[in-house]
Amino acid sequence: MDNLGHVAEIAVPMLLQGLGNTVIISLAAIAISIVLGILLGLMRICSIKAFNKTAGIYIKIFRCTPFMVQVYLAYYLPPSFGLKIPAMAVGIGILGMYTAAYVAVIFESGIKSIGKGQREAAYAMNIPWFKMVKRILFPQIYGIILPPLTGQFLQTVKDSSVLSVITVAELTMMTNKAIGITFSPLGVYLCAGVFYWLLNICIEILSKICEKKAFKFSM
Amino acid sequence: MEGFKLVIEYMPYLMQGLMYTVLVSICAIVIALCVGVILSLLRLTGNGFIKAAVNVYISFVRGTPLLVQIFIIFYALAMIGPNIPAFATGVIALSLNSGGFMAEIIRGGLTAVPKGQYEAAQALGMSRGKMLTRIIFPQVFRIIIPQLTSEFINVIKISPMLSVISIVELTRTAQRLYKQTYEPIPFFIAIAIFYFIICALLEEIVKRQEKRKKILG
Repeated sequence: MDNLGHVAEIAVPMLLQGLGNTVIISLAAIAISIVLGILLGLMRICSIKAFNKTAGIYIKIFRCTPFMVQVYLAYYLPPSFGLKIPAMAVGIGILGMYTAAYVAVIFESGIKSIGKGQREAAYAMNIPWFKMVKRILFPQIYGIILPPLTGQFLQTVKDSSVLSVITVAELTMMTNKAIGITFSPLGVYLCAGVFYWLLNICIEILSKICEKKAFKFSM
Repeated sequence: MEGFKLVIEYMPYLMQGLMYTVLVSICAIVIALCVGVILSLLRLTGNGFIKAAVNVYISFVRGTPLLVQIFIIFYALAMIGPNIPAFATGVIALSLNSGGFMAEIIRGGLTAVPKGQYEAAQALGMSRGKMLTRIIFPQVFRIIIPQLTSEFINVIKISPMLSVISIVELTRTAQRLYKQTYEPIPFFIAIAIFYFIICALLEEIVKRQEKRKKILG
């Protein structure tokens, strides 16, 4: 029992530090993925073939390869061109790009769910394209895409653990470090698991609140 | 060009890794299906305590990263017995994870079976076990076939994480070759293409299955 207290004394501060980094990485990646995902989603529905195809290829590549392989490639590619990017930046970037492919699909299916008539009506009424997206499409799909979007962001938090393989000091990496000091792998990993779990439960609660608000507006 | 030659030279090793990845994924998906069925059967029992336990298990599996789960299982198995082969550890880790997701897929299938089917089976005096095995589950499996294939794609995509506990599947093979040749890029691009081909093919199959389901109704 005494030993357990000692392990916790060393491990918990390290894990909390890692948890902070995980939160920062996830938030930054989610922000990137929303911007990039919306852009890709809009490219998918726009009538210019070249945009459409490019976005399609991007989504296919990122969805059909394992995230871990993408992380390795993102980590090893820049140095071969003489670029030096810190691991943290690489991690945030690739996590954002990977999530963007999924966000784009969610976004695209959300837009497709409202039907083409709305877009055609807006076009017939000579509403500019950007205004149409902002005033007609977005308010309608907000409530529809929020639940799958939350699921995707929960996945992003979990995927951030993979970044430990390229020495980004997030929760999993700090867990490994703490084990290197304390030599009690099982307990410390279980503790890390609980931290991730709590983080995801927090996100779920947050999204439930957002959902309620979204439906209040759309009703 | 130099890199291409390297990949060709070490192709047998990569192929071996690919075989290993496919084998682990197939074993994992089969066991995961069993885990998923067992979990959903446990959820169907009236016992509140069992239900709560299953829900906590599923929530934990879905709420924590696979990487952490793999480490937990790796060290937990090491405490039970020191001589568990790496292959078994990998399959157990993947299938316990995928099983949690599978249970949710099966739940979706169970709610898609019309209520009348349950009532008709009861009206005919079928026992609960017979109703599930003869009436409900055959229909559920037909409904969830596309999701099962998607889950298989998912298992292949998460299998690289097994490389962290030194299971020599495709990604680990690439890492080893990188450490031998000091050339990371060609090998990682090569394995990315391998994974891409497998996943893209399976995705095409999912699309066909979904189309067929729509026609059959």
